[in-house]
Amino acid sequence: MVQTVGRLAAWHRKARFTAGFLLVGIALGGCAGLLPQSSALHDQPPADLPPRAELREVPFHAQEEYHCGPASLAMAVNAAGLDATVEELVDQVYLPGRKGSLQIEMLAAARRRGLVAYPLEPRLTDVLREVAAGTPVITLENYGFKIMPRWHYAVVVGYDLAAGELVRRSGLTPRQTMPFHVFEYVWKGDGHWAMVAVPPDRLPATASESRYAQAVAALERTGQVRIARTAYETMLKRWPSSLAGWIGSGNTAYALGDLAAAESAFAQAVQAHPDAAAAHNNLAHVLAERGKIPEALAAAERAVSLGGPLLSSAQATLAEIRRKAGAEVP
Amino acid sequence: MRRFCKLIAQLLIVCMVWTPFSLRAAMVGTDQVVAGAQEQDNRDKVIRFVQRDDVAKQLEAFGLTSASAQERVNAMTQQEINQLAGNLDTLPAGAVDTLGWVLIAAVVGAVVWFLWYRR
Repeated sequence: MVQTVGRLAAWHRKARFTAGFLLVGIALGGCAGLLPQSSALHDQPPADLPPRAELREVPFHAQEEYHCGPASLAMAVNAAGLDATVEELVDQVYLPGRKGSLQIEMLAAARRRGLVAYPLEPRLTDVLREVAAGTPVITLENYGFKIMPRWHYAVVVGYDLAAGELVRRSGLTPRQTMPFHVFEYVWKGDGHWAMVAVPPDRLPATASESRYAQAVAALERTGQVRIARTAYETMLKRWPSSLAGWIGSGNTAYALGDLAAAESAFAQAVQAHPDAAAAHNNLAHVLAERGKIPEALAAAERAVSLGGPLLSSAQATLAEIRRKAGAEVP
Repeated sequence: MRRFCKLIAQLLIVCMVWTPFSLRAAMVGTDQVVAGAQEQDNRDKVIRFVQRDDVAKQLEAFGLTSASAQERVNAMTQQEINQLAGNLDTLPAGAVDTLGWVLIAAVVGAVVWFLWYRR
């Protein structure tokens, strides 16, 4: 009897040892593959990245229960130089039925404040680059598991390459350091989601033309036309021949009643992109409205001849200008 | 005569109100250019066009007042509305409660331990 118990205990110990060995083995084997970004950063940090940065002036808003979304957003908005309290932002992003805030609403609320809400590429180095350029980054992290997620927003305000860690404002902690590896682990939950909110006269350090154009078009579409106009101008300083930049600049000028500026922007668009039907089409509109009918007709005809998916718009434009021309020349 | 004048005035008002719309009808929007005209065309055909009011109602069902839901939907683009519609209960909603912090301690502890072990 005693012997049996002893043998059982020995077997149990052995099984436990084997299981533990396997678990550690899997964990170790998986680490480098599981966290490729922080491994790469550790092995070969980009040469142009400053070794450390910290935005000490970014204010801290402590998170009340479930309010990490509005608290994080308030910090980012304040850092962009605008007033915002957590309470105001609760009304704009917090969803009581989910006890949390959705990413789309975080972006939309930043736009409502007149800021360009720019979602970053899912790269750890991009987060660091933004911080190095003076912009705090809002990140979405998962502290649970795939099947039982626990989502959390925090604000990255600093990093130190030598120490291998980030500095974050999170929850109730104004300054929390977190190793890159740990951050990458919790950050990959929803595909490495991060955003910045910047004033329209400043481009995010990691902005790409198409992503930034999309962010600004969202501002324009949701009625922040004046802000969008400034942002398109900012965009054109960096990408002087950007089609989206010139069309956006022209469309916002038009919406604000500045027809002369709209005409000149569309003319620039046509010059830089002679094959863009949208540019010819919009130029035709503004020319017709400014009474330059022959030039408008030429532009509209060019838009129609280019064809493509905008053909129906271009045909409508041409028909309208012909009507107008017919009315003026009896 | 007075009735005639009134009719003319009314017609003029309608024309004045209508003019900007008819002029803008065929103006190409920036977002169309941004998304690539081709892609936009396809998207309009394939993806169902979700009404703003529908999403506002869904937001209300998650505890917002009608006015606040409307305001929040107005701050979204059509693309965002399409993304949100019907997914309000599954999209990530950032917030960590007490149980969350317990899990955080456990998960972060485990990760740190593994990483430490690795060195």
